Amino acid sequence: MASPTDHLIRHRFSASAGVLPAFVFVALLFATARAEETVPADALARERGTRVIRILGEAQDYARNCQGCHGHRGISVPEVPALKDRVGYFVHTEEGRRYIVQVPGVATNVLDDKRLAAMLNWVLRTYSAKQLPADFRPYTADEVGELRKHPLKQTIPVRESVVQGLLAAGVVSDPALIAYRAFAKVP
Amino acid sequence: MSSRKNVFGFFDNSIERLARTSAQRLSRRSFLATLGGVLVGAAAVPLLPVSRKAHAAEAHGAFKTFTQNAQTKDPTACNYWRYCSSDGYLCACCGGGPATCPPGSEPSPSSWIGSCLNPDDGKMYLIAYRDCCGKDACAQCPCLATDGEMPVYRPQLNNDIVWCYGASSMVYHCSSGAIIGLAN
Repeated sequence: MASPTDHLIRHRFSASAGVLPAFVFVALLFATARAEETVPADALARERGTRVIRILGEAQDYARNCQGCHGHRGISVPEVPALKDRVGYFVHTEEGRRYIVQVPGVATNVLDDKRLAAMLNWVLRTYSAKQLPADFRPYTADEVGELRKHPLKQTIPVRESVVQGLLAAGVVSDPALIAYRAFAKVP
Repeated sequence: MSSRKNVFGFFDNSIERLARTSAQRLSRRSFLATLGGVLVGAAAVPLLPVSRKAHAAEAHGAFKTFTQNAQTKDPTACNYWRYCSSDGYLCACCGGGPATCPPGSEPSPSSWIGSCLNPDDGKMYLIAYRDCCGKDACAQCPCLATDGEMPVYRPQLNNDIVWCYGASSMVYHCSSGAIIGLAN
């Protein structure tokens, strides 16, 4: 014969049956969040609640070799040409495409051809996707390897020539959009 | 002859007494518990931060020297882990923090980015070495670390340069190191 408390026990079981999946779901949520963000093992970072994300692959190559000057949003100080919303214009012409690789900071970079090509493609797509030509051909390791053998000795005149070419081809109508120091005009 | 006998007798008697009193006072379980404690303790030694610090340093050869002496608590000391490539006066000694500028100086919008191994979790973090500018040199806590640093002809990876580009003044005050992400 069932004891008077049986229904209570059954009730408790059914409740825990619902609680367990919910708990697992919440635990998974936390697990996912922790995979993306982590608090450094550092007394000050813990105190301030500093959370950091993983920066891997092309993003890390950019961070280590370019970001200090070009900024993590592809936009920085007037001394450094902005990448955001402009670097994509350069690959509309062959001359511009060469310029992007042969500019000394790129050509003489510590990255090998394969990683350098991947990083350039990442920069173009991350910071300037809208300005890319519809038929954009990503850089290959071979192309980058060949171009970087000839780093530019003079950059400003070559850049000026690239800009004139882009204006002549009708890629941009206003030179301010791709001027070296047009930082303030970038949207 | 008799003195030698006395000496041996003393040892014999003492050890016998010790063995008998322990047998009477201590249970066998107490011995097992102690032995268990010792075994578990021995297994736990590699989990201590000190040991992990040593292993973390081994895994990244180039960072060995700095990381072996690095700590994660005192940002006013040269061996604070984030300063593995820092060259200059520590902002944390000048009224700022490891990643904040002292009053009266401004953070440079440009920086160079290196990476340091955190000795406590053995992970590599990307660090932005950002100078604080616009005020005379602080001259407190001069430190020089060179992990991952390259000669000045690779300026984006060099710490001898005054990183004040874009700041309203190129006058160097102190060096800071901000964590910007995990590198692995």
